Amino acid sequence: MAKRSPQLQRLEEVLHSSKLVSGGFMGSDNISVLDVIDADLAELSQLDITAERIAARMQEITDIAKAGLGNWVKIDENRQAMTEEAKGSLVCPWPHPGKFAKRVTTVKPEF
Amino acid sequence: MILSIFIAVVIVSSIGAALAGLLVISEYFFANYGKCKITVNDQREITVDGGNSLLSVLVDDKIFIPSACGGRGTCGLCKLKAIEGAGALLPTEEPYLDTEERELNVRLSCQVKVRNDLKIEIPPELFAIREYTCKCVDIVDLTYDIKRFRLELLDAEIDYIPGQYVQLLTPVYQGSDEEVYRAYSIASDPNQKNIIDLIIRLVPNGICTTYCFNYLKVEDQIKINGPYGDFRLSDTDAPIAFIAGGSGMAPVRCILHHMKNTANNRKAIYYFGANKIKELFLVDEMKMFEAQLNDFQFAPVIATPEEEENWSGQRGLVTEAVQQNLKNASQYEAYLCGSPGMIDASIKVLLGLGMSEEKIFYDKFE
Repeated sequence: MAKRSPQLQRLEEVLHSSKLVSGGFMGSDNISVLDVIDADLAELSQLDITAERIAARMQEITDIAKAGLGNWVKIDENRQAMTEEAKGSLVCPWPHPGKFAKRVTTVKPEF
Repeated sequence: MILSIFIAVVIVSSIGAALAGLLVISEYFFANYGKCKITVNDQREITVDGGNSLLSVLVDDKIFIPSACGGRGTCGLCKLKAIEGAGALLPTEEPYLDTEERELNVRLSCQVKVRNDLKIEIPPELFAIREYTCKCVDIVDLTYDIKRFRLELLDAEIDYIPGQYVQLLTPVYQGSDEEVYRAYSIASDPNQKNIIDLIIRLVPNGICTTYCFNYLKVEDQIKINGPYGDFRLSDTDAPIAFIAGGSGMAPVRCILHHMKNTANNRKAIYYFGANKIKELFLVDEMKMFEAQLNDFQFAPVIATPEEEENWSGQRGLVTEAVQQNLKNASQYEAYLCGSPGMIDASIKVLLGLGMSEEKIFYDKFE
């Protein structure tokens, strides 16, 4: 088992606590964040795609969906997406500064 | 042999006692900061025990600085000017302060530890902020995810400017192991000085909204502090365009009550956006304002009504309705309340219609 850095320990603490969201980001799941990250990286490697590319595409979809003000918006021939927002901001749980909009984007197949 | 053991025990015990004594003395000299004097706005002096955060000692002295995170340094709201004695800027404060604020000695009061005398400046209106103990006397479902909570103030009346907000203290509960504050616009009639109505939309996994929706019950006691905020009706005669959605109804409702109470004759139109008819609420009350106010029109806009619902009102996004229907926009003032995305989209439309930026008012709670 890899040794955890102080930053990772703090991240683990924040994600398992209810400091930022009710019940905590990880809910009652006791799985280690490091294990989740490792599993995700293995999956991405298998799919030959990077986390950066996924993040860029998620941002692109969100930017289009935001215009719908909470309604479904056509993204392309195969997908539609909806962005829901709440007032206020959410602090990034990772050990670096950053405040972000409380926003959830949902993507579903275009009918 | 026994003597040797006895001597060893005495030596070890003596070393332990000496170390413990050293710790006590060190704590007295290094961690005990004694009494510290805080001078606020060159007008008020408070004396506190050193060692705690500036935010917490101010709250103990009933000076409430806005803070949404309970002093964890994550919301960046508890800013004030620390003129003297606050020490160097901490890494935990840096993300929240721009260059101009740093030059003006603005600090996050939750991160500044009181170790010596301090000189600070806060906006004078914060002196008027106080804490109120309330009883929840009524909870009403307005839509499937919005409720109105009526709080009765138990120990005092509250004066506020319509459009302002209060902070609600969420106690420790199953979903949160710390007390936190969250800001909510006041939705009540300002003439009812012992009543605060809050219109709250459930945010999935939101610490405070989860508490309010799933744990807060009628007859429970709860604490709020306030009032806060600059969002308010101007004192001009310009016609008004209110644009809101969801729980953004709250400050508009309060302002409409105020307009009715003060016989304000300004022309006003209220564009309220919802995605479905089931997300519309307080329609009867808005119709009542139409009858009571001199020149007020409520214009609900539904983005995607179901066919069987036979919606005969305006369809589309609230911003589209504003774009199509707001004539002579440059003469109007706009008051925006809702999600950050709706506010940004509305500003874009209003600027495009010729409204100047200084006539657009909103509170994003960022």
